[in-house]
Amino acid sequence: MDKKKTKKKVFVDGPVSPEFIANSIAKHSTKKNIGAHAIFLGQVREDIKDDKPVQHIEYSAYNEMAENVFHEIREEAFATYDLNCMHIYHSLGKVNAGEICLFVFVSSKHRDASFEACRTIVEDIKNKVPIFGKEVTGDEDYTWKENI
Amino acid sequence: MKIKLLLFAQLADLYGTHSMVIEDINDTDSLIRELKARNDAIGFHKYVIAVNESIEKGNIILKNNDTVALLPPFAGG
Repeated sequence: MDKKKTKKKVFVDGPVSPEFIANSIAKHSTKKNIGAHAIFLGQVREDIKDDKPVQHIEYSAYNEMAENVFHEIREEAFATYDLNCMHIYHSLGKVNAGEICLFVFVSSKHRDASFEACRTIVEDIKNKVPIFGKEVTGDEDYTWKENI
Repeated sequence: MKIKLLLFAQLADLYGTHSMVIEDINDTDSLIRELKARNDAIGFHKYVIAVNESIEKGNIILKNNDTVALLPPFAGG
């Protein structure tokens, strides 16, 4: 994939489907200089809030700033690690418990770069990107998620 | 002079809006004082301040048409 170029679209409406993830993997079979992929999937967990299970999370974001921060995270990862390719997708809107809200997919010639870059990218996303999550437990009930 | 204020998550709930235009505010300390005067519950919330998409600490002098966002704790991933 392209390194150091224009901002990539990161946000998707709703959950990231398993089919999308599988197709992304399949598309890389033509890139014969890749030897390793590291993939992280963030899934909405059915936490208990106020004694009720989380049914879904509604994700929102400071979109313009988030897109810029994602771009900086990408650029820094390409500058730090010897990567061939990188894809990041994050959900906006409703994602049910058990569905995927974050898909990070990095590829490199050898595994060390992918393992390390993937971890760094995920931590950076959780710490730096202005994304907000409303954990909905009922028709009117919700709490705001806070990353730890 | 006016600035655009963006609110998210808990703070959008608190003020009932995701954005507003605030006039005659010259710095971020004054902005927070103004917001406290409108609803002092903001004092119970954690947030960081971004001016024109850059997170800033301390009191920041604002310019006309700056965008200030109050960002509650992040929840991505």
